[in-house]
Amino acid sequence: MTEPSASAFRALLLPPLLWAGHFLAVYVFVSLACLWGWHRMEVPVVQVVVAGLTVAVVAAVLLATRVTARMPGFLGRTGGGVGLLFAGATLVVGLPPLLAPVCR
Amino acid sequence: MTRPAGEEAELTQAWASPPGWRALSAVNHRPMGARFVVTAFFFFTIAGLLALLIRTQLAVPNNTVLGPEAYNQVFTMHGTMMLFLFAVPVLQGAATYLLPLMLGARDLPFPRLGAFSFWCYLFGGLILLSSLVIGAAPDAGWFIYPPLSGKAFSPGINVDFWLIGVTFAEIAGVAGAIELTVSILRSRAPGMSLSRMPLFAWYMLATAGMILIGFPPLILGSILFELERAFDWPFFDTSRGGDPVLWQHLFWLFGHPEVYIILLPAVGLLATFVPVHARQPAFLHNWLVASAIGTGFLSMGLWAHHMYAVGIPQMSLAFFSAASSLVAIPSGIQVFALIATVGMGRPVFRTPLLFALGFVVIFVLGGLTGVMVSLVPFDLVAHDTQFVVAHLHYVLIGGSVFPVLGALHHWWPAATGRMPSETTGKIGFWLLFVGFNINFMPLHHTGLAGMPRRVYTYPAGLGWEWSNLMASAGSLMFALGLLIFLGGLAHAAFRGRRTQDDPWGAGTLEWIATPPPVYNFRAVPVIESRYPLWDQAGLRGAVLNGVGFMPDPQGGRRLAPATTEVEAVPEMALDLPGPTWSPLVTAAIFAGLFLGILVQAYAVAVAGAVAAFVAVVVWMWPSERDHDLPREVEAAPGLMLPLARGHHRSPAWTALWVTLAADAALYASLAFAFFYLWGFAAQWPPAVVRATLSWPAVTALLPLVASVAAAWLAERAIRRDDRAGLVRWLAVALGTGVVFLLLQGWAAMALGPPSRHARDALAHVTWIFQAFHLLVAMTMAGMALARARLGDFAPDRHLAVRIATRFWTYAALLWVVGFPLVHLAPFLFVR
Ligand code: HEM
Ligand SMILES: [Cu+2]
Repeated sequence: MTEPSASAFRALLLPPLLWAGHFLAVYVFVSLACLWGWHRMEVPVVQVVVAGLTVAVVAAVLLATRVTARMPGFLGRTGGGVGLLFAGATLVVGLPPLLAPVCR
Repeated sequence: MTRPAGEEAELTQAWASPPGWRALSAVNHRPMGARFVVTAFFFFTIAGLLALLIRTQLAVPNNTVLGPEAYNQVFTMHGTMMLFLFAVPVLQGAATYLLPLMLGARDLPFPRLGAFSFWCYLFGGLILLSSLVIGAAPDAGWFIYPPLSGKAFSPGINVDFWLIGVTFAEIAGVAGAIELTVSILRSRAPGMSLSRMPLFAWYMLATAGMILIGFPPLILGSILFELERAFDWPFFDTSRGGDPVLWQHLFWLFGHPEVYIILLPAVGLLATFVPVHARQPAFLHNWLVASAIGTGFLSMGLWAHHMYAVGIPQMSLAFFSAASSLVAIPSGIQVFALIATVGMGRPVFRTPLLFALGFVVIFVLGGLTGVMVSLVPFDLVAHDTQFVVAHLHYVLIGGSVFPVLGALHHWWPAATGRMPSETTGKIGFWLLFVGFNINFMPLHHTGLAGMPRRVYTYPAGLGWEWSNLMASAGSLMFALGLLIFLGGLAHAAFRGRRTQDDPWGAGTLEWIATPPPVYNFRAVPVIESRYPLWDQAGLRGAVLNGVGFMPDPQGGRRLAPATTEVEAVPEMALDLPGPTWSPLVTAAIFAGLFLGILVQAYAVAVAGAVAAFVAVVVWMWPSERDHDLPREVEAAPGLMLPLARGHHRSPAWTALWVTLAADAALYASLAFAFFYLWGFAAQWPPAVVRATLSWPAVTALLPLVASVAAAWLAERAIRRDDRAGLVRWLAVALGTGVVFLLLQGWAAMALGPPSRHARDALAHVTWIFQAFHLLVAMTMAGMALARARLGDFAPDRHLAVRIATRFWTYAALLWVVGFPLVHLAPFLFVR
């Protein structure tokens, strides 16, 4: 990728792609964990993994956004908006498994 | 500096389409876009008449205009046609028509693909429509849920019409999305960097991305469903390891993005014409772009909110409910930005702006009821009632019909060179606006009072009479409004006052000359602003005098610049094809193929498949050898650019990756089906007694790897100017490819019969899917081989080889996922 493509990619596509990856990971993981009965273990494996994943991905999105937001002009501002939106979105996707009883 | 005399005539000549009936071979974007829009309105009219029929039947209790069977067909066809044949295509048509003009391009980068997309859409739509004529229209609702739509309960041909007609239209949509994506990324006028790109282009880019990822799940679902109906492969049959809920997932993986696929381009149109009539640049431009991207992605993660009442796990309920509420944020930003643009500007309340305000009011009301039904407890009450009918029409008519009508009025002068009448426009608007609310507002009440949707009549005395009667009266008013509005436009096209250039004082490039000449721009301008006509003084004069890129057609060629994705730096020169019958003929052959499948005349289908193969090869065969093309052409005085054809960074290269993304979504849907059934279906894991790995299945991996290596060695050979090596290695690749396919076929015979269990059926679909892709790669490589033997290709011009290599590798990678699913999974199932 050329330099402008790389920064446009980081600003506009990286946050949503991270969100999508996290969404899929959580959805697939929770489904499988329920299928295989991991939620009945002593330690709350499901919650711990989901919380860990969520914190990691939100941090990654915010980090990417910080780099983006320093860029001047259009990419900086638009990318900043995209980053904030998807940091929030990632958080919201990670919350339900922590708040609601899993596997029911 | 003045341009040579006669250059303009030569340009007109180069871009002209043939007269009379031979105009059907035209591939220019404006005739194509106009055909899309007109055809979409044709289907809209029929679907609208069906709606009036529904409202007539429901006007009073115990009515007998339509019996239950007819009613089922009518509402199913109304919904299906409105969504698949009107709402999406009309916007694709608008984009086909407007985007090149807005982007400062002379045409779309793949005119023949655009034409092919149109003909597929037309034929698919006609196939679907013909079912209504013969009285066998689909009758299981616009999302045709099994088991109702399965062979047991829908033995007739009705559902097959849906599956085939809709799939055809979806293929048209994907082809169009590839075209539009590459167009937006690679054919913007020099200098039109992403930050200066018009909002409509941003919205279409997001939409095209959603189509590329969102349509494949439904295409896959329809293929599986047709296999089940025609050959008894039990994907949705619970007694043999299938699950009807799998269809719901595949459908809504498509269906929810679909709602935004309709909404986003409409908002893009608004965001482009509202600033013109508000005389103020779009407020919060950057936020609008961010919202388009945000909505595009978020809408992919909400599909299951249509399935709250199915009984999916509580966890999933919370998950999808949370995600659903999120999408309100970007939607809210967009509505706010539009209102603020009007509020901060000096608005002139002409018809388009009225429709924009109509959009705001109606769409916001629909959004409010949307938030209500996205809450699980409320949805369990409102689900499948008339409340949902009210909600979805507020969203769809507010979010699509009103913006489209406003856009028609706004761009009518650009399309016809004549001004539409403000009087009929405004009368039409108020009838539509008031009629719409009289029609659909009462249905909220009817629904909460308990009236289900999709019932052909109802008894008196339940308190549903007045609201139904009112709704029916409103629908007549709405229809009258449409008649006046569209009649006014049609009248204006012939009798309207002639316009001068840029009648509304707009800022974007489509208004440089009104109406624009066939070649769009006398010379392609250099862009320095988001609203070039507002900010770049002298731009119009310069363009009209041929100052800019490619004023000279250089011997009657259709030249246009191709630029880089982000900064729009001119990179090469496109040399676009002129009129050709290939797209029409190919689409017609596909229609024959699909009709053969529909009526189960498999001899016809096979003949159609062979003919389609030939047609595609003929189409793809180049008219001139890449080797003989001039390396460079003069793009502007003193600036030489390489010719795009055969160049390794040509837009076709971008198109390859875009296509692979859509194809990967198709394959991912197949893998999803596998894991979904594994996880949730009854009768899983399948009763496998003894798992064995057949030796042909394992041995086949060897020639597969060898063929990929050979393909890459072929490419390396031509990079070193070794054409003989290219031929040799391509032949090796083809040979090993054939060996692989034979072994695969052999291994497949050891698999269980597909009708035994959903897993067996999926295993067969998986290997056939991969084999089909390898066949496509082999066709590409075979054509490259033939061309190489005729002396084509050079070290810097062998794009066809590069594409074949990449596609071949992709086909092999499919088997990295496919092999374990088909041959290793049984080991996990042994009991
Ligand atoms: C001319 C104005 C329209 C009227 C009077 C109208 C009327 C209706 C009615 C009464 C139903 C409910 C049938 C039932 O459940 O028994 C319905 C369903 C539906 N309408 Fe419309 N409609 C109109 C325009 C549209 C438009 C413009 C669209 C989409 C762009 C649309 C999409 C749908 C869909 C998807 C359904 C659901 C069909 C199903 O249940 O399978 N309608 N319409
Ligand atoms: Cu939805």
